[in-house]
Amino acid sequence: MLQKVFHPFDPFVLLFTIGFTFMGIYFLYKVIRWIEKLSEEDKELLINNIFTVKTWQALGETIQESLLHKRIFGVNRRLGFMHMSLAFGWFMLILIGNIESIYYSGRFFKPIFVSVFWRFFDPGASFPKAVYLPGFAFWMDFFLLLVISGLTLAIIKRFRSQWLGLKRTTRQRPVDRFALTALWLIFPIRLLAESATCGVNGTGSFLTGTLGHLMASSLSLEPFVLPIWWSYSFVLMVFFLCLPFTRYAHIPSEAVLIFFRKYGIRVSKESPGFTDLSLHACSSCGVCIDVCQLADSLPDRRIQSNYFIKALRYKEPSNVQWDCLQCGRCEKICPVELEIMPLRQISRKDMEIGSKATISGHNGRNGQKHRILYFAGCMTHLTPSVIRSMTTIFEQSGSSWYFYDSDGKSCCGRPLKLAGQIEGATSVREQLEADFLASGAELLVTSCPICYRMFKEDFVLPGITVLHHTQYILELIEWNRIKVNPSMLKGAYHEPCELGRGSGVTSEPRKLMSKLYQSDATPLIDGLCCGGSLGGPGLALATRRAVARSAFNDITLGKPDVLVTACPLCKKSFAPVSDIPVLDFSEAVVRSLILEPTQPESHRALKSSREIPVTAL
Amino acid sequence: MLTEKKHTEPNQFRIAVIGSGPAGISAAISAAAIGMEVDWYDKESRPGGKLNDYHQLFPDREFADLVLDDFTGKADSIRIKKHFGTTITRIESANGQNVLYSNTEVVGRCDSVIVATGFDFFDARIKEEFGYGIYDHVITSPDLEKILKTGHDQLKKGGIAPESMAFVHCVGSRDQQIGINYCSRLCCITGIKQAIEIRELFPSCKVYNFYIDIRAFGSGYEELYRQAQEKYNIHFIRGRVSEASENQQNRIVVKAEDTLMARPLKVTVDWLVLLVGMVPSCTQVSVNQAQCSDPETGFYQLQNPFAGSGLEKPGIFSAGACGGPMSIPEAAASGRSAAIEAWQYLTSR
Amino acid sequence: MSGKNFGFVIKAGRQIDIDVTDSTLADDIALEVGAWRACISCGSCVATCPAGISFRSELPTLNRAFQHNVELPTLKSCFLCGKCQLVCPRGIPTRYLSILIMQKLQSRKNVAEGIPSV
Repeated sequence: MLQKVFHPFDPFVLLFTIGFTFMGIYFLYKVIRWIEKLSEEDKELLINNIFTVKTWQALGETIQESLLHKRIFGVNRRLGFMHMSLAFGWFMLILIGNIESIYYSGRFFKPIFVSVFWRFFDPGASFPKAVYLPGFAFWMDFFLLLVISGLTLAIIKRFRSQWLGLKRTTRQRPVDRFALTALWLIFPIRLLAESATCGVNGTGSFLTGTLGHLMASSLSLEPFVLPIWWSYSFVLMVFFLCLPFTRYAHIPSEAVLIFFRKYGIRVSKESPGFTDLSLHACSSCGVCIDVCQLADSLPDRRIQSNYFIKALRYKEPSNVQWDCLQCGRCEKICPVELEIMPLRQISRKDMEIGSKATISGHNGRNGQKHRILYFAGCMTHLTPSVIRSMTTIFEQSGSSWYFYDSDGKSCCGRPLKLAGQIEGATSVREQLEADFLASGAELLVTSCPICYRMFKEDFVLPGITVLHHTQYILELIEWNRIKVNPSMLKGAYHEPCELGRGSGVTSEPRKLMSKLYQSDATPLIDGLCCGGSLGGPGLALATRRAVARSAFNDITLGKPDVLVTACPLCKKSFAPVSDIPVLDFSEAVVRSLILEPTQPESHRALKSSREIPVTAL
Repeated sequence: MLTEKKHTEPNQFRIAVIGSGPAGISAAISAAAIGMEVDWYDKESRPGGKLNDYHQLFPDREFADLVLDDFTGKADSIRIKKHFGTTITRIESANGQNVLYSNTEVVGRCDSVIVATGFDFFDARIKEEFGYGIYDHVITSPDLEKILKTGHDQLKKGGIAPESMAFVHCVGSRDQQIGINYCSRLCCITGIKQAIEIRELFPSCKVYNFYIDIRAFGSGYEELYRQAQEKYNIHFIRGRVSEASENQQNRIVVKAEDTLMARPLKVTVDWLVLLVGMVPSCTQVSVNQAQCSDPETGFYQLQNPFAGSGLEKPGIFSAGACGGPMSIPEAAASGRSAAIEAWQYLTSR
Repeated sequence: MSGKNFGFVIKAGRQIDIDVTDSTLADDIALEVGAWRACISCGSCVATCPAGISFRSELPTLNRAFQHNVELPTLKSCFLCGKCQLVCPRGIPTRYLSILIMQKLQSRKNVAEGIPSV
């Protein structure tokens, strides 16, 4: 019986079987642990969604990302090809090998090693040579060639990463390098092993057949065949034994991650299981390194997400969790779509100091109801010109508005959140929320993208529309509540991280630019961090200055006359390094404003025949 | 001995002096007094530089006009070739010969150059939180100096003398946030002098000086500081202003900490005067395409400050505040010193 | 303490005795963030603080160790908004220091109470 199941058999397959079985069991254990360590809500999500269409969608995404690596193709085509050829090529080798073995052995259930080493057991003798259609042997050779071409690129990448679109390649841990060596060896040895077998038997397709023929003609192959297959099995074993403890753990983890994510599970402090899974799913591809603005100005490599995640995963001592600007550029480009910013905030969460922040002295509203609340934000008090310009704009629009934080004593709570002080942030949020709702306002306008993101993402404000002042001003212009005369100057827009990438407000500022300036020199690069970010409290002023300087140089490549931004922090960061005026949108608008005597609210409706929406109040 | 060997006569040397502030005037006069041929350049059409805009000079309150008249009188009595209204932008120096350019145009040649291009006042608009350029009643110390010179009635509102006024020390000095780490040294004494003037003009006006440290280093400065406290009853508050805002009555609300009381403080004033620091002049001349400036401060970097005022390129000397913050007597002395150093250099090369 | 009334009370002196003060916490922080020592007590941070905290006085307080092993309740109400950092003429990372001080105090407290660190 046993003999029948384990047939065909050769002792060398044991090495592979040990490695593969170990990996399989280990990962099964891991998946169970991940699920176990999910929060109750996340577990519910998992159960409720597993038998829905989402599973099929996840399957599709897995093929697209884990095998074809579509997103990496978006970063660089050569890099994408490298990842695709390794993953997809290997997958096809396994798949076709399996079909071939089923087809010829006539058995569906058999030990895995049978299909993995099928060429050894059946060199193709049973394969009718007279059939000219490209059969299994051809396709097996084709995909082996694909994998080897990817391997070649991977080797090139180690020495000349520039060619694959990476300025820097990742630096690896010794065990990663060991596994990498094993991985690199697998395919050349496989080629040798299959060629040797084919050479002896006179079979094989264009790759293994040709090479086998060459080898057979130059030396007596017979004694080499078995040792080569032994070494092939050996490197497979080494690779699979190492896999769970190296970056290659991402191969199975990424697939699991895609499924979990489709079910709606997100990184949170309450679900350490998902956090751990996310850390395992990082493939350490390194595309996050080049987009990091600190890569040039901070010598410590450990800050880049690639290394940061590694440190978290292996619990390496690291003191850089306070140094990240949290601009989110790495998160945006990550091919695995890891939630890097939440991961970083969680790592700060460990250092909760028990914040007891309370808002002490915001102004009373004298019992009056105003339709608009203006929340300048704490930083905006250091750019009084913005407040002044917003006052002019509100007055010109004739709206009924109230300057909520005129005493400068309020905070939105996001700085606490970014620093991992979730409790303090929640307490601040609850106080503000209650007060906003009690005010009876319909619209909340803020000048600060940090506040805006907090209001949008975390606050629950039924009945109140939250707008950043760029959105509000654009509405005023579009609804003819204020009029502007475009300036002859050439302007460039600096997109604040929290507004563009963070909150998705990208089109309104650009539309405003076109209304304010006759020529727009905004560069087509993903928004850069000004260096003033609240995300990295540990960064020294000199580093921030260096980030500001290099960002400024990149943004002003089109030689603008004026730099326009929408965040008080960006304005403050650029002011000392800029040789051109740095303006906030509100100031730019006031400069181009066609001033009219302020009119009472009742006259306003006459200006536009259309009904005015709530946001343009 | 040297003169015998090389047979040098002073008038065979042509020297250029760029700038006509206290340092430039002194350098030109001294070089001419030695007997060298002096070409004197300034971007303005009249000499004096910033001295033209000052009212009274600390610590002894001489009128700036008289001091300037004294300078120009000496300059007029000696043979100096004036090229005013010419902006020198760069110097090409090779084989002991210097060619002076105004942009692309060659405007002169000489054996040695003394650069005395002075300084600029810090652009207070960069420190937006103080409200300069935003609120009408926030001015800088040079603005106040001009007002004092041209008529202090501008400080009155509707003919009424100001009730209160505040001076902010260290605006654009000792501030890493704007990358200016050095102390400009002279703003403290300027603030003290101007505060005294205000108290003299408007005896009912309360004057507050917000300072971190009072650095009254020069001769007579400390005495003036004491006078300001004792005789003029000026309130010195130890704390740096963090921000200023305008209230409904267009008065300026100043926020600071009274660090000696360890409590936050607020005061409403009619005028806020920012004592701006000194920064390298935007007209700083480049030598052989190089800026010759100290990477930290941006002022000219002296080759060996112990040995003299020579820049890295031999034959080119710095005089006055283009080499760092300096008072008027110091600048004048540095101009005279540069003239002698140039003479020594030319005779010994 | 006897119940006798001598008609006067002996109070602890107001003098700071540097010989016996414990500045190890401040030294610890300075070792990590050298800029901690660069404070010139200008008070900008206090003037600008929306939460009304006196960050400036934390430096002498910790240096003279009046409150070691004691939580600084004022810092607990910090918004960590970073406005103080933006006005500091010495460019001191006050926001980070705020977190660091609280952390160090917490871990000292933990040690004192025998709570193992995480």
